[in-house]
Amino acid sequence: MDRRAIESEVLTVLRHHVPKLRPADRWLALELKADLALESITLVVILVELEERLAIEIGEDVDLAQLRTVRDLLDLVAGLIE
Amino acid sequence: MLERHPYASDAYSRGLEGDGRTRLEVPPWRSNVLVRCAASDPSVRTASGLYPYASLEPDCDLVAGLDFLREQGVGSVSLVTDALWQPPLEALRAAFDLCRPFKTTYLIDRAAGPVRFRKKHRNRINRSNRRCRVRRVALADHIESAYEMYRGFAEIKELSGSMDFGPAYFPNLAKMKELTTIAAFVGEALVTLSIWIRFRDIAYFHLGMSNQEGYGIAASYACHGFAIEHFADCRYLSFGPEVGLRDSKEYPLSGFKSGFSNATAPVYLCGASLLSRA
Repeated sequence: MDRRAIESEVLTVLRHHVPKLRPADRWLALELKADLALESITLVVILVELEERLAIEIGEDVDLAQLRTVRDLLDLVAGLIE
Repeated sequence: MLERHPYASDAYSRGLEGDGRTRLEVPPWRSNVLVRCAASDPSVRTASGLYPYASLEPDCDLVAGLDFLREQGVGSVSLVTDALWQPPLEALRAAFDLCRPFKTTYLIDRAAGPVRFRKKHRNRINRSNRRCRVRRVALADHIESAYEMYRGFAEIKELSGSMDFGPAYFPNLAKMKELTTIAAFVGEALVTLSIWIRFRDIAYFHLGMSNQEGYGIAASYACHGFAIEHFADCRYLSFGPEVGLRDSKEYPLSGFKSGFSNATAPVYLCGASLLSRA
């Protein structure tokens, strides 16, 4: 799966929670907390949904505080697939 | 008027407001959620359950609650259930898009047999009791210490989001009639606070905090020992699950909690996307 396909999956899952989200030039820089209004527990739900869609396992040691932007989330997922 | 679970009460949820979160009552659930709006676009709204659990009435109308949130313009809701106060699992699975075991909560269930601690825990309770004095206190008399000790705990555990309590949290908590606060003292100095919330025959370990001296003498063991006797008339004592994203044997807390418990139960992570339901 290439990065663009992973990006598409991440966007699909994020849009479950933020339906108005559109991929724009700066969408990877959007802040999960401030721009998308996501709480930690919602981020956990998103990670679980990504696990199920992409058949990956996100470890228990993921530091949610380090997931600041959409790009951080994408990097985490891409790192598990590559 | 039906008695409401303290974690579902308006009084409790008010203490979690702030930092962009506002309380929203969900009448079909007889509970509250916290709603956050995007800084750049107030029409982007997500909802989450309260710390430590979304204690949902066992007979509440889950779907009507989700519909209500959608009508309020909320895009999605995420919450963690209360193993001791929730609708049946089948109902949760039917209502939410995602519902899966999240973490394990540790319990004393007095109906499951006699309460026996691990030997290590018995020893630590005894040792700790020799080094401190434990008694009930009013949280209102120790707000500053509670906040200071909690900040230390939050830094160690790198807590963020709705668990990163602001200064209003403890004064609000102190007003709750369901609250029991147990404190450990070395001489006159407060070293540990153990905060419990009672609902019917359930006593929830809500928060525990120590300063360096309290950690040094493991005063939390003495406080738990005191609490287990204090709540002798409760069938359940709920110690809660791990702090963190998943269950882990590596975190020291699971050993602490499991050593007191004689039962476990899963808590569920539930999530629903709402605007697509219209």
